[in-house]
Amino acid sequence: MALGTKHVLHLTKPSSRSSPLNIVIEPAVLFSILDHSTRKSENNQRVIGTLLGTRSEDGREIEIKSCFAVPHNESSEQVEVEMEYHRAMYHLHLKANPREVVVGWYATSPDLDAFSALIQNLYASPAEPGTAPLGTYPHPCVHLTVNTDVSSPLAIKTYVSSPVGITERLADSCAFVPTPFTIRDDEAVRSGLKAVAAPKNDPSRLASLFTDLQQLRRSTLELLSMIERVSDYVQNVIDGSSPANVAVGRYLMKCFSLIPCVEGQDFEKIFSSHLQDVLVVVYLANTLRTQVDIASRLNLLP
Amino acid sequence: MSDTTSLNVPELESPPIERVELESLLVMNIIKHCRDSFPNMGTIGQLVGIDIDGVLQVSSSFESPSVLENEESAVNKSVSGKARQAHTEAMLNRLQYIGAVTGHVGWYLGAYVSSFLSSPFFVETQYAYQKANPNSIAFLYDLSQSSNGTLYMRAYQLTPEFMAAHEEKTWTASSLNSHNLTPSNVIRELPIVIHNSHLATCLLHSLSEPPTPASTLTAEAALEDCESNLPLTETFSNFEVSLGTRYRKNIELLLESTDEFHYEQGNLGFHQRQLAREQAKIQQWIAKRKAENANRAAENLQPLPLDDWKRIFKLPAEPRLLDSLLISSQIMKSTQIDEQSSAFLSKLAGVRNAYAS
Repeated sequence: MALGTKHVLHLTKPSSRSSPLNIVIEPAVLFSILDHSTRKSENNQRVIGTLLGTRSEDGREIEIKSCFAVPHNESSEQVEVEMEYHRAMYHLHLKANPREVVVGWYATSPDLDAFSALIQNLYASPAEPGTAPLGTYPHPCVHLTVNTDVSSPLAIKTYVSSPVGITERLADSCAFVPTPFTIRDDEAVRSGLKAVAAPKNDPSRLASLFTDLQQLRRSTLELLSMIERVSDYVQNVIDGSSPANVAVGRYLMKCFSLIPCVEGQDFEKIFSSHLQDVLVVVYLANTLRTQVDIASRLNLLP
Repeated sequence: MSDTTSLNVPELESPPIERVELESLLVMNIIKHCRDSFPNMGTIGQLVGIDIDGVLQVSSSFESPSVLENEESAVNKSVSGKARQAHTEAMLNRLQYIGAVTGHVGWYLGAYVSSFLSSPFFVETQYAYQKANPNSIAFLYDLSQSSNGTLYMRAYQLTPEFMAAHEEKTWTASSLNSHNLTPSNVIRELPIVIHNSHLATCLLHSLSEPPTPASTLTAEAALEDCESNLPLTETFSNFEVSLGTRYRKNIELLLESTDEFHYEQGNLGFHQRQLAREQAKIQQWIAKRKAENANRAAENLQPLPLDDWKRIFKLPAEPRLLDSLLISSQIMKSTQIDEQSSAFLSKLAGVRNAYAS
């Protein structure tokens, strides 16, 4: 017996043209989501919010740069999202950051249920005629989940979606397709993360900002522990207590080949040149400071 | 008539700030905003937090608009104070609605540490904040200084001496002397402490790789370690022994400030020479008048008044020393590089010892 159209299951694979190949997440976004999570109301299992960022021209790469919380109410029967708040907040954000657009939404629960599909479709749907776009349409909508449940590890996942299911139930059904992501990693981010990670092993969760010398000391200690670790491994291989591995050997050879080979005289020349540069800068700074101090005192003489 | 009586309850003055406590979210937000705006310096945002017994707990921040909307003539110009204030108020209302902390405790600025004080913008803005709330602070984040693995973020407040002098707005030598204001006490730096929530601590642990003990170092683990690019994996960027990245821009700006300082000194010197010339003329005129009065006295005539010179001669107005003060203060700030240079010398010594061994 032929199936009626009402019973046909529609499956749409996300087209490779529209689905992003890579998602880059700014660490500030993750910290912001965790901060929002601490203000979760008792009747909600999770908190949700809007993700903002930029897209490459072909839409294949999405950078999630910032986010804001969106109030919502969830019960076993229904979910209410305050889209008016989302609209107001997005317009305020655009004033300060005109280049950032809505790229998706986040939730602090790893579960993907019918409500997740509803919210996903809400963010991915086109704007009403004559109104400014508030969602991601026609681009794919990214769903970021951060598991903040204390009983399990903190897991971060990103998804894009594809409609699935019976035609009249498309609003609350979609297939979430996991998408690879990376966390933004550059010198500025690293310096910030290093600073905020300082108290991570301290029970008080408090730490002062490091000075250059303290940071240098920490890095030196870490380098020494790494050398010790590798040295122990190599010794174990030599003793025969650990199996030799060609790949590891190659990595070590690659590291050693990076050590510059400089003649003694050349090294002394480079060293003294660097040293003189530093001393000149210090001398210049101290001379200027003294001169300015004297001049300022003279200016104030009656 | 209403049966409730309105009472003017005086607000309890909170003690002055001794320490600033930053949440990790705030640090990462400021870095993100300033990095995205780089190389355009002068990125501005607002700080949100709470002041408890001399400790300012700054928990979050939000960006402020930097250009006026829909005004071609105003592109790349700073937004007017009123528009920024309206944006701030709207943002604080929204944050309050979702139950976030909404105490407006100051502002942050992305700028070079060697130039942020040179123009009056920083002190004028901070003065307005501190006038409204004496415990308001200003954060300075220098992206160029943070590029070698050490975060450069500072918290500043204007000193009571500067606030008092600004109240007068004369900025003359006598005014600065009376308030005991020198380039070294225009601003005061507050110690910064980082604080993390439990969840932020969990995230930081997940962003750093757990070191594998040597005994369990398998080939797979070693290769994974080599290839992992977690943001908290040590890259040893602070072992960099090249001066260029860190000092070049600073020295350029320092020399610019020095030029500006010499220009101000030139103006001051010109004023002093002009004043000396006028005073010499006045002395000459008074001597002449005294001689004239002596002649008149001999002829039994009334002596002419000696203070007529005030109508004839006009002394040049005393110059405002604000710019000179700020530039001097900036130079004092920029030349405090002892800590940086000691770290640099330590690195050089380390390289030498490693090479020798």
